[in-house]
Amino acid sequence: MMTHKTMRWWCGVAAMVLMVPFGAVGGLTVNYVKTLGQTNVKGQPFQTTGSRVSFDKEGSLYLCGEVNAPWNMLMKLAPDGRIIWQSRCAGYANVATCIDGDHVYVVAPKMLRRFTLAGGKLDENWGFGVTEWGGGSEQALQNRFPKFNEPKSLTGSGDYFYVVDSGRDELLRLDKATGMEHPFNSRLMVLAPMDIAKAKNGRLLLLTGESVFEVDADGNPGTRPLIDGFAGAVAIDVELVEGKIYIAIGGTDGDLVNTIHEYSAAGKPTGVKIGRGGGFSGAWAPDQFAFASGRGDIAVDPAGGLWVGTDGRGVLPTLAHFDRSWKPDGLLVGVNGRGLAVDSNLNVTVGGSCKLSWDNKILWTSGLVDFGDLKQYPTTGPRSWWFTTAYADASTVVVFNPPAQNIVALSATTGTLLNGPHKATPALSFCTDGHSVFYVRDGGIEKVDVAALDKPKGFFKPSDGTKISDNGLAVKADNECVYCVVGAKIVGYRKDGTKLWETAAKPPMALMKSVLWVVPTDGAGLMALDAGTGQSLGVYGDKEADGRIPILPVSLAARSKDGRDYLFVGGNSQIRVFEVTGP
Amino acid sequence: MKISARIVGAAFLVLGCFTICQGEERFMRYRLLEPATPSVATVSAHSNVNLRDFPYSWGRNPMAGILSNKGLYITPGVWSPWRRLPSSPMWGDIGITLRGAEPIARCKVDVQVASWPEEKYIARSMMIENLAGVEVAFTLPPSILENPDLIETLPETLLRRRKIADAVAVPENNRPRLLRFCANQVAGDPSVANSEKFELETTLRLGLNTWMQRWLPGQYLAFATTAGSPELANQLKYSPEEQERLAFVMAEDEPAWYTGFNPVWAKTGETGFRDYLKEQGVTPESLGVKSFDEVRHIRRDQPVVADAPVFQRRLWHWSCRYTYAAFSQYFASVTKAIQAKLPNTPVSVNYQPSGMIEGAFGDSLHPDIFEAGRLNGVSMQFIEDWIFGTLNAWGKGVYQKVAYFADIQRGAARYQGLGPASLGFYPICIGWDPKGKETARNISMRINLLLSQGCKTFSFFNYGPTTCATVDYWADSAPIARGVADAIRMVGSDKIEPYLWAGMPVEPQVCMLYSVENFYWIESNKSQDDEYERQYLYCMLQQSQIPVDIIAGRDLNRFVGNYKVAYAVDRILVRKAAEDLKKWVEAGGVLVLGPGAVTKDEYNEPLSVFVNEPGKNRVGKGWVVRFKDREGSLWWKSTVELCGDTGWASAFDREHQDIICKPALELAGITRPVIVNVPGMVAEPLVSAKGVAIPLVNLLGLYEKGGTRVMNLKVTLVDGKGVTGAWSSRCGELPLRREGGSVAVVMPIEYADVLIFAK
Repeated sequence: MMTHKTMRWWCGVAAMVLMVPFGAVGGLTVNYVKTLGQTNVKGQPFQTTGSRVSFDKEGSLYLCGEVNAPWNMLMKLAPDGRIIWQSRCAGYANVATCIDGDHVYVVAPKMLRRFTLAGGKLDENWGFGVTEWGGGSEQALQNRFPKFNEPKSLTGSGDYFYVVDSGRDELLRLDKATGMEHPFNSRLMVLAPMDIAKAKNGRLLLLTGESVFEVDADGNPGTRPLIDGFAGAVAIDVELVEGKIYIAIGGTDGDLVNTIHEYSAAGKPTGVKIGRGGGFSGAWAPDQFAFASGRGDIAVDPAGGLWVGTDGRGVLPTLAHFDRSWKPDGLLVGVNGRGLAVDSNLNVTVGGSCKLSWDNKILWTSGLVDFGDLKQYPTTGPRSWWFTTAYADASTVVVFNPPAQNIVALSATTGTLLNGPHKATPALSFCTDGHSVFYVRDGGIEKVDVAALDKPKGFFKPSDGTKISDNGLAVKADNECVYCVVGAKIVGYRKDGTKLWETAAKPPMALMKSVLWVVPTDGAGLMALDAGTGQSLGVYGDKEADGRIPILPVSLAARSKDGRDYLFVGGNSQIRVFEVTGP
Repeated sequence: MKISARIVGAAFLVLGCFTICQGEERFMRYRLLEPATPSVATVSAHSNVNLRDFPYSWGRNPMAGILSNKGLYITPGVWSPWRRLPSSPMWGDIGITLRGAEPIARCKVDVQVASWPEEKYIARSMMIENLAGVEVAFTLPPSILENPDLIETLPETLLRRRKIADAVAVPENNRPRLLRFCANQVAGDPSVANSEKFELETTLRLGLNTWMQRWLPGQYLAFATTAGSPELANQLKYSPEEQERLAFVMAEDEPAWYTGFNPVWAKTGETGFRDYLKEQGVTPESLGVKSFDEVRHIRRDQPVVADAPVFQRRLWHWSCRYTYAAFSQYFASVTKAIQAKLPNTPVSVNYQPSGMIEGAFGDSLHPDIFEAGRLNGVSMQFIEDWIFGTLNAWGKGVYQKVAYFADIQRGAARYQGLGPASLGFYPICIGWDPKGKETARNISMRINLLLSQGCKTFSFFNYGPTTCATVDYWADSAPIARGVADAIRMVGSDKIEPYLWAGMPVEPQVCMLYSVENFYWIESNKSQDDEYERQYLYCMLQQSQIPVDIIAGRDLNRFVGNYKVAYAVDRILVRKAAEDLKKWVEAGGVLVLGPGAVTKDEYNEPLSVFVNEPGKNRVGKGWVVRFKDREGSLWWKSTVELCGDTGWASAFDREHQDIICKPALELAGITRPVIVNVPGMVAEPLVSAKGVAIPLVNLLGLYEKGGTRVMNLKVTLVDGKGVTGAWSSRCGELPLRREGGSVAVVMPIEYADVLIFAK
């Protein structure tokens, strides 16, 4: 198994390797350039995500989530998204973190642990939790500690920690020195607690789906809710300069959804609302909010920046930073790398859900979420997070939504809806030649012009009657050749439907001039094929690689600018950018 | 509230003290400071422990042969020899009474108490002064070694209690003006000048507004005719103004069936019984005789066996009926006599609590409260509870049962029409914890449980600051004094009390049958469990926010038509009533029967009006549901297991609760007037034109240590029409939520509060 120490060693290796060119094979040289949407270094995407986010005084961000039950991954990220360290610990899902003193504390149903802020060293003598697979000491240890059921969040104050547990419907007080329970005189029942934060005045703020109550150190609540009347609130945090309170609210059907509201320290609304429904100046509200799913978190950094994490749609954890103008500005962690489309300025549209600049800033998020308003922003079906972007230029982004079987056009500058959805595309594979969009349908390929998305027309079928798989597609700019998937092979066809070549490889694929980039059959790294012959020009990376090329890339895109050729590789919740040079 | 009733509780309360300090020796000596003339001193004591050589007394007793055989001549300024005081487990108070050749107007005495008759073992030296009498006294605690601070002069004791009262004093604007809170048994002590007045002032600071004796300015008056005699009513002479301030008249304390039966029997003998039989349409033939001359009444304490010949069983039934009717007729005459003098004053008797806790109405001791209601035996129903806080205590620690008691009172009062003066209650508040730091939460909880059943008159037995005789043992408790003030403060303000006073319990859709006839046979059929089962069912329904009325079984047809659901657990029901019940089911009612319920008639003969097999059966438009098991007993068993080693009702089973409530909620489709989101909560509304008052009780919050409080209790008033605002006594104004036609608030609760939805 991977221990904490070996994990750190690998992190160090990865950091060193990232400093050097990746290598040259078969005449092509692939140099790592950068990563967009930083995430887990070792390529273990969170499965149920880090539902809680914390900041230390320096502004470093701590995120913990389940990666492979019962294992959780705790990460420390620099404000610029660089991963400082990560460490693994057991405890199953519903992980919550908080920072206190020199440690980050992590609580989960079967775990209470703390790690040093510097280096992420586990304090073996504090708290409890399995340390080895099948470790028999878990129950014995836990007998000395609180019996957590569904711990939702924790915060430190004075000599204690306070944990809200939605399984026990209770606020628990723990001794900070030992982690053992220091019970209140009377148990404090809190029905369906969602989150806890410390107010500027030192009192605790307990959030339920409907209310915020102030609670003192002995668990005595105020006589009435500090704030009341929410519908589906999920997270709370406090900005400690003025004591402003931020509350993430899911909302209800037929009402405004997925918003963050700002309140004064006294609990009075300031009028600031982030999210659909007003108050949010500029671009569309951060669609990655999915509080309506009942999960997600918000956190205020030491500079007052607001960070939003959400995991409600089954996607990887996403954090968006907002400056005080409430424009998304900062780091995006855990971008789902599917459906990359890169415009001529090397801005990347990811799955139609957001657009990242070359310097890793969020330009917009689109509103392609479960709760669209059918007007300015399209509505997508339940769990329809897997969008595929086929086309992007300076004015238009074309997005496919396979589960809903539709196609929409978004503004490339705002992410808002231009037209659609058009019910025309039951396919999973898309590509573009720069003007038109192609997709697999009924074993052949259809084409639709960007200017007339509602008018698909037939384009291509193999002359020998072969049915091509709906699993990957590339089309040469002059439409002379198409590259597609047939069974376990990549096949090149001429425009007239005759086979040009076939090679054992896997999608996704991206055409860069005369080189078709695909994935080797073992899924490790990338393979360059001569687009004219199908001959391999080399394989780049493998399973033992240092992580620069993700294992099992899920999306590829190629784009040239200023005479330089870039390959964008999506996977493992990140986008790695490589420059390709060679003959 | 006779001594006999108190002994059980007393034993529990002081047992721990006795075991700790068994046999501890104590000594005292004294020195006369004033008067400066030789005098004779008598040492006397009263024990708070009922010992063989030192029985209870209501005043200090010289205890000849123990404390002193004769007076002791003492010289002023000279210490007396050390005198041995009774050893532990005796504890109580010790007095020194002086006599002189000349009359003594005031006195001053130095007293020392020691664990051994030497100066170095002195635990306390004190100077005791009486400015208007010849007696001084001090308190001797259970252990002077462990609690030397509790060796107090009686003036110190009174001041200590006053200090407690001042710390929790109910502000003037929180003192009730409509609800009646009576300080029962307030008494001073002859060793302290003006002590009774002093003590009454203390009760005022605790918020009490009624006194057992004559009134003080601004107070109500309660008066007790403990002899239960109609003739005593002639002694009640009050001016019209004074009558206005009479809260109630207590005609008798803890009457048994014979308290009323015997005087009637003495006057009428068998003739009265035979006349009664004729009035009821009973024929001699039905009793197996040719004429009434052959009929002989059977006293209630001579029950027939269950399988006696049927004529004898019939005679037994009618003898019991007559016994309780005679009791009721007697007290009706007392009530009538009192009301002739005081026409607007409620008249009551205090029914014994063991009628529910260890027995039942209609058993071998207790009268039939429903019969007394039918025959106007009293105009105000009064009961005391005697419930203590542990699972093994009398009442099994379920304070919720006081609501059950009050519901029975309401069932009796229903015959005369319900009003704000229909119910009164003695919340028993005893305990010895002079310097306890906590607040007795059970008092607020009980007050709310009683309020929710329509009770608006409360007499505390005892509230705390009383010193005279044995009673001070029962209630020298700082937590209880605080608890009383806490309860009164909770209900007394202008924003709360008018709603509680005007509000009456919502009309329930569910009733429980109480078949007194079942308990004519309690000795023969051993049917005590039927009473317990009903109590448990009541608790479960109430914890599910299903309001319940309790109605008498015999004449259920007078009331049962008002309900959608009826629960019955008594195995015996009068045959005619059972047939009426079946007609009610056929018309659409849902009848829920326990195993064996309604399977015998009033003569202990088999009854087959309803199917005896467990299951759910259609009968006409209605349903009959018979449970296979005694769900109440199972609920309690499971509850006790859930409570574990906490020793008190700190958790309640939900499984059996759901089973019990299912017929009402699903088959009958009743609507609950109030819904809450947490278990163990009682929330029954009192409705008036002004709005709705909901006395809230968190049953799991009984104790601060180890209890459960709730941060976000949500209370939904299902019919929120016309509601404009909400507040609670503890929380103040609350944000009002409108949810369709309902209104709701979210609020914290520790153990008790009163929530108002105002119109």
